[in-house]
Amino acid sequence: MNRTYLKVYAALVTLTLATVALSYVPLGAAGPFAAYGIAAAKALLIGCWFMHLMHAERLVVLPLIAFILWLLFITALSLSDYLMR
Amino acid sequence: MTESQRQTVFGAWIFLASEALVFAGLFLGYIVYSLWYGSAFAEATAEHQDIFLGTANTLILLTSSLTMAQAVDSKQNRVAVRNWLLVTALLGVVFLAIKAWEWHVHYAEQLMPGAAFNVSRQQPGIEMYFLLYFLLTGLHFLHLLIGVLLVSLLIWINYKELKLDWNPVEIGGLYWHFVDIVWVFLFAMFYLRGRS
Repeated sequence: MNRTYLKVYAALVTLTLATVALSYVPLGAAGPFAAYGIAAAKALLIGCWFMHLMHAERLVVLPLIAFILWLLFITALSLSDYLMR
Repeated sequence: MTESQRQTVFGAWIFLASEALVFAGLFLGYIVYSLWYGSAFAEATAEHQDIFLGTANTLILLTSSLTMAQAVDSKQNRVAVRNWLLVTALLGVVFLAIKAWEWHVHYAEQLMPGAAFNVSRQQPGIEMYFLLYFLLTGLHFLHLLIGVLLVSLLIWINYKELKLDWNPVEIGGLYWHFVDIVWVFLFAMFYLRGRS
């Protein structure tokens, strides 16, 4: 067993249990941010270690940047419409 | 890494980036409707989602990502790769079975959007919640089903000792982890609201 992967896995399980526990705590408007923040942290752990982004060639960052850029475009354009009606 | 290995990894990331945008568009729809129907979304989650099954499925999928990463890490050890892949596929099937059971319960409660939707629990937005729920978990289910078939193919390639000039297990692993990440967000969107 790869020890680094085991540590990442332990962190993922801990974060999952933490986010379930947090969903029962009345956080008000901060609740969704806690849930999605933890989800993003888990995604980052999976991406960096299980998908080898930490040791990947710099070239694979290119499609990732393209994704983030278009994500920002569609989010900004959609929300600037729906939130301001 | 050989040249063709590098090319396939790069190609896989281009594919995954476009896949991510497909889900991003649907996530955006969810964000807009959850801003409009916040209380309905919270109510639908609290009353109709089983937090135990959802958490169990999340842990199952995270475990399958660990076993998939171990398969990729086992590289030249052919038997170890095959065993890790078998465990990964098995965990994927368990996830699909639990998800199908949850859908069955929701269907029996008449929560499938359409003419038969149970209007007695009407609060505007509940039907939209379930529309997005079935659409997104359905699309994720389809991706995981393809993932299980892909891992089965990897096991067959491993069994036949086919020699390729790139590493199919690594590419399959990238796809598998991507599907896992999608679920991590779906879990937060459809299971964790309105419980406090």
